[in-house]
Amino acid sequence: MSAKLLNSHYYLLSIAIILISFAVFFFSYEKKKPQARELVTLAVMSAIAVASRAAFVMIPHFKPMTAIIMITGMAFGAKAGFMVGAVSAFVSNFIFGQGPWTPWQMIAYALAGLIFGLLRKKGLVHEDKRIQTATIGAFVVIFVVGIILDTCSIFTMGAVVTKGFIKTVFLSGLPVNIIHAVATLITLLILCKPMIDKLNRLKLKYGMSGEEIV
Amino acid sequence: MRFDSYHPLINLIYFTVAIACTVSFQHPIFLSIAFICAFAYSLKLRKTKGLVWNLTFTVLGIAYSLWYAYYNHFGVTGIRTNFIGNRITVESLAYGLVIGITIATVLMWLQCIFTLITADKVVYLFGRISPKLSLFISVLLRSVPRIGVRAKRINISRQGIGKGSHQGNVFDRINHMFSMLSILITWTMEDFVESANSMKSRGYSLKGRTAFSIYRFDNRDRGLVIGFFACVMIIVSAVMFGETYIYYDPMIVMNQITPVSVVFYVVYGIFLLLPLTLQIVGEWRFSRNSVIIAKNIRKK
Repeated sequence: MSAKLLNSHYYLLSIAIILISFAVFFFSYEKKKPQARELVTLAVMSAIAVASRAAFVMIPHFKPMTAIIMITGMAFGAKAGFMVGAVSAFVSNFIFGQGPWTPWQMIAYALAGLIFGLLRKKGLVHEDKRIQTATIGAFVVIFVVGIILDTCSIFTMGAVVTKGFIKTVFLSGLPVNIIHAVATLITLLILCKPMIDKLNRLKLKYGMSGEEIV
Repeated sequence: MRFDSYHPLINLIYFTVAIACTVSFQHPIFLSIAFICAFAYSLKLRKTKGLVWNLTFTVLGIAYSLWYAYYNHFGVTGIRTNFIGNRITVESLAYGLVIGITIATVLMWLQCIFTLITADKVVYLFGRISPKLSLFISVLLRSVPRIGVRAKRINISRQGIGKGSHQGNVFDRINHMFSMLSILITWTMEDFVESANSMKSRGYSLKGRTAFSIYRFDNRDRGLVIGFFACVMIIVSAVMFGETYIYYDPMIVMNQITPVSVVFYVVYGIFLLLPLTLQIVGEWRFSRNSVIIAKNIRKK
């Protein structure tokens, strides 16, 4: 019974894993007792991300939201990037429509923020190395975010999952991912430096603690 | 009384059970009951808009079954062969129809959810699990429209000095756009840091602080929960008796319809229609009472 259930319900199983990963993260956030100021700053970053997705709604699949989430990850650390990514995806779907894709978008954008937070710590991406940062951003969108979002459509299309079907879905998702990557590239090229300067100034002005604030 | 006048927890229970049952019961009678109920409820809640969407979903569901039958060839009862030489079977057509209608029904339930469960209810339900996160989301939901309003204000005042986002040539416009964005981000961030400071002064993060909510769990809610769970128990027993199982591959196998299974169908229907019935009865009583009151006033 249980083996059959596991095989036939890929979608439910993967959703369960995603939700558990969120639960672990959010409970650790709850335990940490964040300051009001830190909580509000991250909420505003999420709001800017959501607003940026809403502002470009007329260009299909052109989402600067990922870039804003990546910038948050760079400025406030990996955990903050994860948090802002997950919550912005959830909240922006109040505008664009919730559905079975919501948890997948949440984990995809959360991972984008997380990865950029980690890469910033390693020094691979930096606000002074603009072109390198933007290129890495585009690659992350195609190979991490895009792959996760396409995986979602594999499970929700309701067909039998075969190798050929998976290939078809990934190939048909490629143009969409490329538009998304271009959006991220442009946004990172233009906004990365000024945005992080602004956030650093904010941290300095209001004496916010250190690099990692979550 | 609309269903959203009840406690949010009850709305959550109802929609969770309804969607779970719709997705997991592939039996045609259970599925058609769910389809009819979801159709009626979203029609009642969203009127013409709901009707248009529901018809679209239904047509798409039927189209999906045709597409499915064209590409999947399991089953023993052939109808005809298509031009490549593949068989189109009754079983694959029926199974495609079941999947298509299930998806249509779930989309109809989602329509009801969007109408009834608003963002503040989501925040309230989240607040039970994680108060910090719920505060985070409520700050976020408030600031998204505020950012739009502020962008407009900045734009209007910058138009006064000839630097609006629609003034000058293309390069000027892009430049004006970016300086507006810069102002917007700085202003919003700093303003919210100020409000965070004021939150701290008013005792945020102190012990014993409770979250505000306008919902309370009264006797009417308790009654409804008891009714729901009675229905859910009977539906669960239907699952245990194997009333909801059906096989489509290699041929359609389902159990006989006995008087007992009719009882299960009726209970399932009652459960799904309960919010709709409550709303209709509430509206009917309201209109009747308002007529009576109007008569009494005229007599005086």
